[in-house]
Parts: sequence; structure tokens; C-alpha cells
Amino acid sequence: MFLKVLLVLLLGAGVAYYEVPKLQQKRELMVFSCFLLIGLIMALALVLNIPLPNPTNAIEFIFGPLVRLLYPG
Amino acid sequence: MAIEQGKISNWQALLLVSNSILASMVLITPALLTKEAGQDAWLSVLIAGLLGYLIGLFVVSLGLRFPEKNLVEYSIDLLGPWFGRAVCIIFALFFLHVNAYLVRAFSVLLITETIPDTPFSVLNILLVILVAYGVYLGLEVFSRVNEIIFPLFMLAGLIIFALAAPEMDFEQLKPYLTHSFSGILWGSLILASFYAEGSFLLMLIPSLRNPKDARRIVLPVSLILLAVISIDVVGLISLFGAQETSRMLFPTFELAKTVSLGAFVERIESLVVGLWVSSVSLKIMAFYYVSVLILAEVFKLKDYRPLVLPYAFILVVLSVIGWEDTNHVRFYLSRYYPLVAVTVMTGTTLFLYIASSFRRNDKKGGETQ
Repeated sequence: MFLKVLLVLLLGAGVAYYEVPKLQQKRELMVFSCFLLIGLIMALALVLNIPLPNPTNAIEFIFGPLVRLLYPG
Repeated sequence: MAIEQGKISNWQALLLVSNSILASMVLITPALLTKEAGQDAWLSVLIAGLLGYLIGLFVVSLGLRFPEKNLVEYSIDLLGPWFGRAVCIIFALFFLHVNAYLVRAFSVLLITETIPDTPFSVLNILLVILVAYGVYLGLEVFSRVNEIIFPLFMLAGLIIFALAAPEMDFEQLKPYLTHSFSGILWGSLILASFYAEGSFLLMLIPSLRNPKDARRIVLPVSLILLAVISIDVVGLISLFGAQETSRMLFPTFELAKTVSLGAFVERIESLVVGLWVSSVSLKIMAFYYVSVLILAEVFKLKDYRPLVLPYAFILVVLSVIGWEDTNHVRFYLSRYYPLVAVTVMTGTTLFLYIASSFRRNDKKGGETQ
């Protein structure tokens, strides 16, 4: 568990180390860090077995009534 | 100003779109189709071919209204900065989710067929690293790779079907038209959802060398797809029968297993796996690229490359948590995905098309464009 968390953080740091020097504008830095933060939070939650909201369930919930209406049989 | 400076020829675009629709369709859909439509699945294929051609014409005619601009630029022009961006983000998130199921389908295939003891997250991570590398290199690079891989994929498929042909029994296609028409229609909806994925061309039209000729690639793409998928479905039904095909996970792969020529050409399914892995990774590259490019345009970045690696984290996590098991992937693909893809893709395209028609009428009186 600890090793996996360390690996995810190292990967994140590696990505930041690789990309950040190339970003000149403040806006680019902001967008990049937001995306990296979302990605890292999701990866850490996955590694630590914290349940994440599942987009597939959301889609199945939204389209459920339509599928039940149209699906034959 | 467009981010992508690279240009691809129309021939490369044709092959890229064909590959991006075909790579997963040819392996996944026959089982789903025969479950819904039984031995009448060929009729679903024909209906879907027509639907796909219409969707393609429609998508290209939207793109050709603004041949110099990509999806994000003209949806901002048409719908305003906030609403236009929201529509584009829906596009990007849809392709993110498509990518997640593709990555999952890739690891499902490798685990069930070739390396059963490997945890699937390892395969997901490896594939996403490969794909992120391809996207990082840019549109021109993976379109050129696709120009080599896709004809090979087609050739290998053709040879395998030709070798399997002596075993086929076309009596299995009888009796005709015994299944309910709604089942057949649902089958064609499943296929049409894969055709609808071709809407990613909207982001590529400004990168074509001759955007004006984009309409000419629609017919060849639909004919290639129709030919391949109908040979696939008819061959599978006549080899295994509709009942048996619908129970398999990847029937095309099982077909490759049955091939034996003389006593020495056997087990060529590893060839299929190799080619399929390369072709599905090209498919994921195309969608990954489009999704990242849309996000970069939406947030007004100068380049899409800073987003590639953070996106890879999100993609790996989604592909792992999105579906509980293989059965869930299959259930999702046969029930929900057709409606999701068709409504999201054709819905947004239709919406933009209507908006652009209004815009055009406005412009007629005043300035000319």
C-alpha cells in the first residue's frame, strides 16, 4: 500500500518535473496543475481503496429510463 | 488560432477514421448483434451501414460549413463562450469514457485469451503509456503509423477469413427474418453507435490538407466498414451459428483459433492479437488526441501536450473503476452505450448544425462571409 502511494506520487512529481519548465503562461500552469491534481487524487483514491464516483453508473442512471423504454424484450 | 499545425492527407484521414471505427467494432459487436438479432444480424449490418453513411454525411457537412475552423472554435462562435465550451466539454468527456471502455476491452481480451494471470490494471497502465507516447508525438505521426498498420490489419483479416471459409456452412443463415424487427433495429443501433464515434473527424477537418474534399472520404469509409463487418458477421454465423456466436466474448478471435492449414499453419490467433493491439491502440490514440485537443482549445492553451500526461492518470483510473467485471462491460455495451453514443454524438452535431443554419440566415442580409 505504502509503496503504491509512493509510486503514484513519484509519477506525479515526474510528470510535473517534465512539463512545468515548458509552461510559460500562468494560465497553462493553472490548467495543467488542475488536471494533474484531479488525476493524482483519483489515482490515490484507487490505490487506497477509497470509493470514487463511477461515471458509468451515472450514465446508466441517466439513460436507464430510456433504455427500459426502448430495449426490446 | 488552431493548436494543431500538422497536416494529414485525405487518404490518411480516410484510413484513420476507418481504423478508429473498425478496431473495436470488428471484435466486439458480432456477439452483441447475434444476441439481439440472431442469424438475421446481416440485416442489422445493412441498416446500420445506411445509418452510418447518413451520420457521416451529416457530420462532414457540419464540418464543411467551417472548413478552416475546428469544433471548439465554431461552437464558441455559434453558441457563445460559455455554452459553446460546455458542448465541447461534453464531447471531450464522452471520448474520455469511450477511451476508458476501449482500454478495458483491450485488457479483457488479453487476459481472457492470452495472459490469464496478469492483473488487468498492469495492462491498462502499459497501454495508456504507449498511447500517451503516440499522442505526444502528434497527429501526423500516428496517422502515418496507421497508414501502415491498417492495411496489414485488413489483409490479415482477409487471409484468416479465407482460410476459415471451407469450414463455413451457409445453411446456418436460414431461416431468414424470424427475429423481431425491434431486435434487428436494436442491433443496428449498436453498430450505429460505433459509426457515431466517427464524429471525432469534426476536430480533424481543419488539419486536412484539402478540407474541401472531406465529403469524398465518407463513402469509402462507409463501404470499407460495411464490407468488413458484413463479412465478419456472416462468416461467424455460418461458422459457429448464431446461438454459439452470441455466447462468445470475442467471436472473431475464436474464428482465428479454428484456422488450420495443412498440419502446420495453426494458432494464428496470436497474429490477430498482435495486429488488434496495434490497431486498437491507434484507435485510442485518435480519441485521446481529439479529447485532449478539445480540452486544450476550451482552456485556450497554446499546446495540447501539457494535458496529455495528467489525462493518462484519469484514463487509467476510469478504465479500472468504470466497470466491475467483463460481464458489466458487455452489458454496458449492449444496453447503454448505443443510446449514449447516438444521442450524444448526433445530438450535439444536430444542435450545432441547426445553430449554424440560423447564423447563416442572419448573415445573408448583412455582411457576407
